[in-house]
Amino acid sequence: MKFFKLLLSLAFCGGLFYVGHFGFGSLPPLGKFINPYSGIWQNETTESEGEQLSLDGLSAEVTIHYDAQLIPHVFAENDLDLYRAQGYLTAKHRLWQMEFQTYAAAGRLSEIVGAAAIDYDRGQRRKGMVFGAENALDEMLKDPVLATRIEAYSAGVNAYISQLEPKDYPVEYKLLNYAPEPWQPLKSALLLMYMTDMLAGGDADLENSNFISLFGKETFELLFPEFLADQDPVIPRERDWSDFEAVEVPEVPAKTSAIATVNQALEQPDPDNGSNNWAVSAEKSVSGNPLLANDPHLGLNLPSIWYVMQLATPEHNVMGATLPGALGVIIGFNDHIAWGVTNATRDVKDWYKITFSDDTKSAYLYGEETRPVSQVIEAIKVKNAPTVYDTVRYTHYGPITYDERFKGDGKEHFAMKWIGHEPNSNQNTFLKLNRAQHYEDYREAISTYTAPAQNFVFASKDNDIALWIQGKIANKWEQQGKFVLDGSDPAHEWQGFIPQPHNPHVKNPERGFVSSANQHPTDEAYPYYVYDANYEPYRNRVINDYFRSKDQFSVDDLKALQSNNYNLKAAEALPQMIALLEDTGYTPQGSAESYLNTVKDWNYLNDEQSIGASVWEAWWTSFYALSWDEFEASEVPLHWPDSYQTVQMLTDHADHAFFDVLDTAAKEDAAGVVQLAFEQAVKNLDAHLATGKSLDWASYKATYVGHLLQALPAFSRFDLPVGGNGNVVNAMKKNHGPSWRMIVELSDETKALGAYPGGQSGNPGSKHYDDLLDTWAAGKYYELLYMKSASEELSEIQFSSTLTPKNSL
Amino acid sequence: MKRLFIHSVLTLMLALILGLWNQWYTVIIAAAFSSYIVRLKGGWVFFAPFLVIGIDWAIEAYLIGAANDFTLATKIATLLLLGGSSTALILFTAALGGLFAGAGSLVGRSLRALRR
Repeated sequence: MKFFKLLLSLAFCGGLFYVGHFGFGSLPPLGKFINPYSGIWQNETTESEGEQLSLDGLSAEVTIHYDAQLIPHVFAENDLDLYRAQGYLTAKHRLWQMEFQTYAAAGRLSEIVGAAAIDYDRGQRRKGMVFGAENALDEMLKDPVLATRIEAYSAGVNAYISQLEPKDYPVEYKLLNYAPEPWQPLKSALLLMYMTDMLAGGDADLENSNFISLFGKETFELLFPEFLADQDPVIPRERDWSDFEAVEVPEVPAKTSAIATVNQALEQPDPDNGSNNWAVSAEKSVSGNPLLANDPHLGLNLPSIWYVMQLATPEHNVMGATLPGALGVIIGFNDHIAWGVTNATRDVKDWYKITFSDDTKSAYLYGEETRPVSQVIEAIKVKNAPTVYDTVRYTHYGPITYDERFKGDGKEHFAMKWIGHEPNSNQNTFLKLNRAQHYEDYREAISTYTAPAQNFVFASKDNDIALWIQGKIANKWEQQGKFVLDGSDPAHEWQGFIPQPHNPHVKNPERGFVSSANQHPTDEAYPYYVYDANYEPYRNRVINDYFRSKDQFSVDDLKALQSNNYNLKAAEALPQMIALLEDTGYTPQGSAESYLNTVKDWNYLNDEQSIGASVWEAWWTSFYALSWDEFEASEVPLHWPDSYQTVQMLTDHADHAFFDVLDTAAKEDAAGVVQLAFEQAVKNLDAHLATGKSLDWASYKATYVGHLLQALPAFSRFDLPVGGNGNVVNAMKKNHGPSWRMIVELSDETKALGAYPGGQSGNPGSKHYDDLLDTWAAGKYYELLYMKSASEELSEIQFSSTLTPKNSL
Repeated sequence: MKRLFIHSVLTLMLALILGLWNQWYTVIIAAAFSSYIVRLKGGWVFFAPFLVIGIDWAIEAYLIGAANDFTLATKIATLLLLGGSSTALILFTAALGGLFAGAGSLVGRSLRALRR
């Protein structure tokens, strides 16, 4: 009996211990997680005091002052100490995020979250994410100065990690029950790959080929023109290209694509990943100082993708938004210049259909010869499950992403050629920009930059403004890579790159401003072939019209432009939709009548309180989906026409067969779809009202900023009171939008404003986790404290830290 | 009553000392050891360490949380479906600590019984 009691108590206690230590199902290990001495209660803290710490490898003291936004102002005696401190501080405030993003890049999420992520991880491996990061790292390490800086940063991160005890781990480690691993320089390269994938990882080649097989080339040309009418390209149309000498464009070969059908494709990055930027010349600025602004539009996450820092040595003093994991400032300003970036999308990823020489699939045809494939065995560790192995074949183009083992039908194989795999030292571009003083420094800094191609906007105290569209861009024959290419035909190979000096650029244009908003880089006159499936057709025109509307602009004008809610898409489409609806003889009843009147009176502003904006959005969303229901119904992946071309179809091809809705017996034209869409919109709006919510645009849109772990509600912020939308300058969508807003005035002392949807701390227990969010949501800014030296005594400084060399104590 | 007092003090002291090791399950060891040394009757075997550790965890959690306006506690209380109530999270913390200690105590008592 006694023995039985012992067994019983042991079983009870053992069971509790197991659940407490290892978790159960989706539950975290509750004992470890909740106990107040080492569990999450230890994360219930806000950064409020500095530290005195000796750090291995420092050569001199580093001083860090924190302001009220927890922005660190870092003063080091030399570059290596600076990047060591940057690594240390970024880890201190953003460790979980910086590590998680590199796990995501490398296809290692299954290690953390389990089997649910295996498919995602396989996709990342098959995209060659690590392959690309390794190529970049090799290149970066060839430059001894850059190599030591990356190593210093890495050592700084590790200095932070190594002093942690489990009780100090960020909350997410406790929730998922794992521990941080040592940082390495490769992880910085992986983080940059993560950005490259996000911004230059999209393409439509497979989808375009599928479309041609289903609907033919003529319909393709109709729905997907390369140049849209009335666009205002990044480089003003006035720019002629006659100064380019020796332009050589490869000849179009006899056969230009491979016949291919792809059943399944990897998920594409959000096509709205983009941004606005502009610079205003001294003459066009009210104060007589050049102005520059930038707001990158990305997924809205917590912890925020950006981390703001000031980084200074006696030789340079830079401030702005950093990316946790990368060195230096990515978007920012210094004593001399300011710069910003928007994504310059181009088709930099192509697919080659591979023909194997035999069933062993160990070699493939290439011209007259055969070439061997190399095989990489990817081992994907899985939490609470056995390791999964995946063999990926590599060709000279790149990895065979789709084959009999992955999303393929076993008959066709497609290899990826992607600029993301090219050796590069893009990290260096940013470190050079951090130190740039004049136009020439900027031009030199960006000249080696490969991907993701960016519209680098620039302004300096020399009163120069400029914009270069910089990336390493393949010099393609007409339509090369728009469809699947034939990997056995050497003529389908990339024939080299557009010479860097021939990348489109403009300096001090007569109009007094430069701008970019992910639109087409140039007009048709640019001598090289330009293609991308996703050029943004609306923001560019609103921005450029704004700058043409008067002679001079102030910082307040720039703020107003960043929050500009004018919906040009609606202004172009809605009058036609209303006219078509009325032509059908439709008579609205009940709520439909009031919705129709509201949207008729709407001023095309996607303001927070606007009900017209909600009605428009409901109507447009249904109209777009019903117009292209053939795409939704397709069994193979297709690229959808953009909004602009949808409106063009409505205007010019109202009888096109695509307007016929598959689900109805009747044969619709555009007007019929407009009416069906309106009826559907009425239902959706009524349903929204029935939930007790208002029809204000902000409520209808329900913007949220989601935690990186699938928007874990506890750590996310919902229903933000914000206007704007995609295709609007204030590009605030449901979970996507201006992830950092910056405005810089290059007066004698550089002045800058900034805001972002999050906070400097990655700890959900800190008041600095999301303390900047409300200011950002209100369209307001913080005046960024740009300190001149470490010894300045400013009331804005909340507390300070000192890092000292270890051997000096 | 005296035993109850000695047992409780012993459990708390051990929990605090072993706690320096920063492993949550030291409360199980502390309670097991106390019940191996000190004999308690009936339900007290479970409830004495349940209360001692529960109260200890509750006080510690409250003090940490109050110093930071329960910023994280509110979020974790949402995560664990406790309606975003930091008070509920403190009670949950206490209950779990108590449960672990109580279970440990039962093992200690059974071992003690086996010794005789």
